[in-house]
Amino acid sequence: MAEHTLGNAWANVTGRRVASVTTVLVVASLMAAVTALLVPLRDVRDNQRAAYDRPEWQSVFLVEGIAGADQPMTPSDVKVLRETPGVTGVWPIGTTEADAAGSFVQLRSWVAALDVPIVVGRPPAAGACEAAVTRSVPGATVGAPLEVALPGGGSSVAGQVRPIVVGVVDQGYPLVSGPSALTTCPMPSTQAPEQLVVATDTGQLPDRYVGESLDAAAARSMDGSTSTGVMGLLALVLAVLSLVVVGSVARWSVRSRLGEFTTLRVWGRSRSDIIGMVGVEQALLALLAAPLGVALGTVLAWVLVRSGGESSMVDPAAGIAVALPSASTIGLAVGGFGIGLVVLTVAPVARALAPDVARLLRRRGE
Amino acid sequence: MTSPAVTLRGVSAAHGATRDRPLDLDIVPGSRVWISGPSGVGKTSLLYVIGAMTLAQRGAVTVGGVAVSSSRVADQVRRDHVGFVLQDAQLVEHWTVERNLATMAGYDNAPQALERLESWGVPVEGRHPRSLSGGERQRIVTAGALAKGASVIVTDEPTSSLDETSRDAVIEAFRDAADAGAAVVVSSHDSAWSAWATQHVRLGRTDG
Repeated sequence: MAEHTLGNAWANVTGRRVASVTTVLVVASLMAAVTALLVPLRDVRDNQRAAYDRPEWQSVFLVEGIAGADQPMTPSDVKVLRETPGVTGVWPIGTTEADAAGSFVQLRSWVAALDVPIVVGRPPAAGACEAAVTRSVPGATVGAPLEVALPGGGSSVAGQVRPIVVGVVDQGYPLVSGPSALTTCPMPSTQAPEQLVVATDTGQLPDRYVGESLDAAAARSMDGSTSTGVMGLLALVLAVLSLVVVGSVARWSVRSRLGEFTTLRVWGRSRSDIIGMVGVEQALLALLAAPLGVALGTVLAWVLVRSGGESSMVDPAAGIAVALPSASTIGLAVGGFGIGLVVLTVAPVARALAPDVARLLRRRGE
Repeated sequence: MTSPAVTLRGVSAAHGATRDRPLDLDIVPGSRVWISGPSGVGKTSLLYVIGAMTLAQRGAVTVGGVAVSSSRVADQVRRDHVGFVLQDAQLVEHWTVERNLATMAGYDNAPQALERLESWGVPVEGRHPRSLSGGERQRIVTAGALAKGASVIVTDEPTSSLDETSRDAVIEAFRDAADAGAAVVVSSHDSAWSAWATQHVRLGRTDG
């Protein structure tokens, strides 16, 4: 009986082509819309984390200073660190708050070991005075100089730097946030390095130094980024609206198929046989809608997350990989719609199929 | 003595003459029963009771030895014991004729129905009901009902859409089914069935 139920359900799907295609398209569209809202909520952060899951970052550290010391590290401290066994490289990062076109910008030394991804242009070259900027730096244009004023005490200006902007940093890069210019220009000599980038071949930072691995810093930064609750609310509202639409389509479909169900009842098929057949049929339709719905939902999610503005953790030039839904999101969207479609179709079938076949025949007008 | 294929005891259907005049009826295997009477007298309602498509308003109904006491039992009785040919023969429109026959008569019996249809000159391979004429549909439903091997075959105006040749072939097939042991019950206005029937149930209007 089960194989006949499946065979009959499939015959319904293929035999009622227009209705099936309509149902598949409606369900796929709704599934796409819900998927597009679920992906930013559930998957974008994990996708970004996967994109920046770099094993080498576990053995490179951002060092803030020496444990228990109140003062910044001196050149001799740096020298000692360089000579520590297991340490393969030490790069100071000069950092200073500056002003570009009247807005705040953080000027930082370009350190190749930080592996900063450039999405437009190229990385700044060592020995030149160039910069890669985040998208939130006002007035920065690739190929043009960036006028950066370094403040002194009070309202005085301590100096000026004019790096040529040669690249734009990926907005999703977790180790730089806010308006920043990463430059190979010589930094003002008065600025002591606030951080050191320390590469090791042991994966361990010597005990006396305070710092964290790039891996841990990136994870902390990405965990700190918040997703908006509005998106969740929208997803919920859309899911409910979708189910209302699916339910209406289902009720309409059942009314138009009462004759078919009556014929099957005359032939001795029980209500549960017919309900089972319709349930399998709707599950098949949901499965057919799933690839289209998920694919379309992924593209929609991609468009959505790329348009998140400067505060988004996704770069406007990000590839579609950032919006790929996880298996659990696909399961939620496909399973939710599958169950919704089955339940919302089967319920009116159960109501329409009166136990008395003669009554069904009279309703059919025989 | 042969036990009846259908027994009605004090049965009233929902509509028509039997509502006020309960009916007792025994239909033995191999009998050919013709139910006649004017329009609106309740022939179809009685047919529905005999075919377990509805429960009797009053009285006891047994079909194929099974008391039709609930809707669930009625489903089982229709599936296991009854073949139907209803007026305006209904098929599942978006299924092939083969699938319709398999669902109607059972997958094992469908080839037999196809053979009969071929002998009646009704080609059905790969066809859907929407491409069939009324007469072809009626013969397909008839072939399905006969192939099912049901102990009771219930038919409502089974030849209404057929030309004379096809009608004769169908009547002959019903005769063969009865000869093979099925009880065949026909509801029809057509008096041509009188010569075919071995048992005649005439329903009349109640006065007052």
